[in-house]
Amino acid sequence: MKAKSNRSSTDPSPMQARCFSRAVTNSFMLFVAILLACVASGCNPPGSAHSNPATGIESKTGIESKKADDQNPPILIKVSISPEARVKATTEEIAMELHRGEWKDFSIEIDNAAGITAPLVVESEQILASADDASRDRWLELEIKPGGALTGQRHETRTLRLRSRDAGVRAAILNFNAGQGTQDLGFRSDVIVTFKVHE
Amino acid sequence: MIKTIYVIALVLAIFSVSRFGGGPLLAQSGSMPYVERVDAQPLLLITNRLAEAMHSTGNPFTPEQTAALNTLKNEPSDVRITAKVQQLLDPLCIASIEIGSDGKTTVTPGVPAEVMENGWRAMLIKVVNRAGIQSKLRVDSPNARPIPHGPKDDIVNRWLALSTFDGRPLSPTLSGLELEYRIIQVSSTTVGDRTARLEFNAGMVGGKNSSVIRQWRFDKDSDGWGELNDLTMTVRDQSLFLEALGNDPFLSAPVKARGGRMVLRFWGRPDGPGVGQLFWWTEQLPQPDGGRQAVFQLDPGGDREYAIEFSVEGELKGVRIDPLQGPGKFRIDWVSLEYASGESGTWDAADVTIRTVPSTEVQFAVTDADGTPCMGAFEIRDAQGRVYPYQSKRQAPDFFFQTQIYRETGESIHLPRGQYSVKCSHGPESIVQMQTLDVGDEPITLNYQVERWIDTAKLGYWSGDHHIHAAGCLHYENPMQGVLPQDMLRHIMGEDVKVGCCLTWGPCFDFQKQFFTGKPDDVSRYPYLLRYDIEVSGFGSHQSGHLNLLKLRQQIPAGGNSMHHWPTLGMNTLRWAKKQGAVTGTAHSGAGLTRSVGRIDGQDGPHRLPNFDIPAFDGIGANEFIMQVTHEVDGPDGKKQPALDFIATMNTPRESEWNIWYHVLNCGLPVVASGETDFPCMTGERLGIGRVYVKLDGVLDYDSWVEALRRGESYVSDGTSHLMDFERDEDGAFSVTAASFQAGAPDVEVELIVNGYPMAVQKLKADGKQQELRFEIPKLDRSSWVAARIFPSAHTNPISVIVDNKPVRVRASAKWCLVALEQCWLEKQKTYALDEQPQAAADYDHARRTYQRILNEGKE
Repeated sequence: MKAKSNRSSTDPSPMQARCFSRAVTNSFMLFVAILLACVASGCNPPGSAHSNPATGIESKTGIESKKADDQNPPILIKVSISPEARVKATTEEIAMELHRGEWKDFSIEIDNAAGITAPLVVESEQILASADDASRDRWLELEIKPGGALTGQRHETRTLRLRSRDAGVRAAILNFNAGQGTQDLGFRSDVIVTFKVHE
Repeated sequence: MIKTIYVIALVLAIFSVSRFGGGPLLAQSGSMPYVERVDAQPLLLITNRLAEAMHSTGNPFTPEQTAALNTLKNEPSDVRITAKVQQLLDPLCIASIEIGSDGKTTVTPGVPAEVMENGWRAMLIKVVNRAGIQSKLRVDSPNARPIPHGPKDDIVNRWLALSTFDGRPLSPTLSGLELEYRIIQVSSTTVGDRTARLEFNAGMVGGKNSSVIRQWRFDKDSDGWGELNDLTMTVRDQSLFLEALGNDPFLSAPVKARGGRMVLRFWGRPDGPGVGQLFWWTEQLPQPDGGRQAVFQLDPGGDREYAIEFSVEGELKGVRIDPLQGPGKFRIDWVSLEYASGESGTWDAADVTIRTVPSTEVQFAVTDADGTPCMGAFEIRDAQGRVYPYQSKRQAPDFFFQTQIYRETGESIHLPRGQYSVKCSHGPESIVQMQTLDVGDEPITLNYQVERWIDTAKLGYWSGDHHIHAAGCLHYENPMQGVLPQDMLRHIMGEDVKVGCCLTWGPCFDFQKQFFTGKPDDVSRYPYLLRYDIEVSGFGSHQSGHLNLLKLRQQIPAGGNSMHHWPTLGMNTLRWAKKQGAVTGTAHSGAGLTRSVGRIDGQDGPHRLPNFDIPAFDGIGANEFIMQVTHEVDGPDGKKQPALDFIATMNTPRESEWNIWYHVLNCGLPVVASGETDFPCMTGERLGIGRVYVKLDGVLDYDSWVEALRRGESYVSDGTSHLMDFERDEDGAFSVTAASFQAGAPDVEVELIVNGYPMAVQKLKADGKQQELRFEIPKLDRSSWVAARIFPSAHTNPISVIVDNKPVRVRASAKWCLVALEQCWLEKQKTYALDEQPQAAADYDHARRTYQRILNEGKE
């Protein structure tokens, strides 16, 4: 099984309510309750006016879209989401070095041609399963900041944080998707990253 | 000690009867460099990726080799793992390259490569990377230089073709690990044993030992290429699109380098034959002129790498490419300038043996079960499991991402002598046949008569795939402009899809649009019809849910001739399409519906159908659909008709695509299901994985077929199960003719679905035999829709049972639809252009009122 990255949302299990952010879900459920109560009483449901009918909360999660610039960490990964919502990833040619036990930040540049608003997920079999995982094949900790749903905008950037348990040369396959079935075909949704990890 | 054992083992392995048919080794085979130890974690990871790459290119490791690699997962010692990997893979290497810590390279020959005359073979290159560099490994050979414009007396030496395989799943550059293996592909035109000189370079761009002077990429802009003459240049999709307007088109780029022998490489595709020119200028001679030019031949047949050699005296200052000699188009994906092999001191070489064996013609004779000629699908493998024709070098109509080819009687391929296993099929209605083919020196014929377990066309059901593409997705990397109608026709014939709806979409739009005619394409061969239409994907209203538009008469709305002016509101797209009589539907419906954001009260059914989770509507499937199905719009005769005719099914999770369909049907809204693959986007395995089988009496014609689809006179299926003639009998019972075929003939369940829930179930043996099933159920006390289903492989369209002249109204589903609509609006409102916002709001308001009314009318 692939371990998943640390992020603020998790994939849904069938019978449980899932949230991609607490604020939106709480507001959404409140809206559902209001809507159903309203319906039961025969009123007009909210949203009949030309405004965002749900809660007044911005549909965006508050993530500001920005391109990587000199002040951002170096771009390690470029993710492109095709109009068919297929997620493809490539690596940039940068120095691939870490220091054991220390977090290092990289940028992920996202080109979202499909405009989807699902969360961007990264999975890897090399992610440590737990804090005391001693497996040779797992060595990596990974976070995406901020987590959560894509904004739907054409371009945005996230920070990818990596930390290695080990020193030496270490490799990982990072697989990117935006939900079930969105990985591009032909291995295009994953990248191999090989790091020299210094003590 | 281990190294000694390794060397002995390697020598023994090389002298043993090899997979290359034995034969004496040449004196120049030496022992390859040995690595004592590398970290096991990255070594195992990249070696496993290598195995996946060999498999995906049709060159799998043998089962024994695969098993040996798998056992290494449990080996604790890095030293033993390093030794074992070398023991397994070194005998497969045509050469090794050792990169010293100072960047200097040493090449050692390996085992001979056996290739088929004009065929390709994948071999490995062992890379011992003491320097830990992570650059691209370059391979060249004087025997692989181009023949056009080559020296006359060197032509006879240019019999070899080479390319490294650096595509997925491999990384395009070296990993930096001290030990890894790369793939090289070789091809030869000349039968017999010949010696080839292989030259290697692994320097980083701009590095001390680099042969690469400059690389140009077009991710964001033209990367310095400009100063155009008689040329327009557009940067799009990481490529340069050039259009020559006059007779002297060129573009230039400044670049500085010391002189020497150089190679300018670029990957591109011209739209016609001719020649191109390369000019350069120097510090000393700052103008390009006839004294500093090289000519190259254009190859309009497809995408390829162009490599132009030239010598620079003095300091190079810039280069100019004249891609054409007159008006025309050219696409360039990347450009690279580097020193030629041997020039910069960073190349090293060795002589290797290429053993070219003659090939034999294999003709095909293919007939259907009734003896009529047909197209078959053939997957051909040799004893080592290698796929033929060589997969990664295929060109249309054979696709590199498939293991099978499609051939009919009279066509042929060439295979070297040997024994092959051939998997023969003709779509899912056929029973797969395995044949053994013994190829000798004389031409032979492969005879294949299709064995069927069912022929639905003879039963009046004509299969179709309403969503296939001739460009994009797996076609996407190269060539961007896609394949041709005759290529797609071969695939629908080979997979026995009677009607193929080939949809032009965003990325290839301006090339593929030429094939739209408003009727089946002229290449169609009855009963196989290929018709071009549109998928709104990558433009227009795509963000709120892709739309499949079939039976268009006009391909593009007024106001433009491409895809940049389409509406952003799906309803506006549908208004335009329905006005001309199109049949409209969703695409990959489950996209955006697999993640849920909440739930309302309700009873989930088996297979979670129906379920009451509220989807996120964050994708490009049946999203705006929840609003569209409530609308009627003007048809070509001015009369109102549903805006949306069908929901696409059979290629996304059934739980998602059938769930939203059930809830909408429970609101009494008429929408039928149709079956699709979205080839080669959802899959490249084959088209026709998702199908719709349309009932049509008499001769098949496209308009009648698609109109019957619109009326729901059809069922959807993956081809392995069929539910034909689903009817309600006079006594109120339901009957269906069911058939299913699966290995082992297990029992499958045929369910009778009423308002989304199974009300009766019968078992059916999946042995291919047709069986009449009859379902007697209690009298329905309210209006309902009823269908038959074999989960997940087949589903009929619904029959309405009307009670007391009331429409179908299920209150719980109306609630679901109302809440789902709001979630959709939350996600999609921002995707509509400003000037369409008022219409969008009005359209969603209409949907709200509709679901509200249905809710008020509904029963629990």
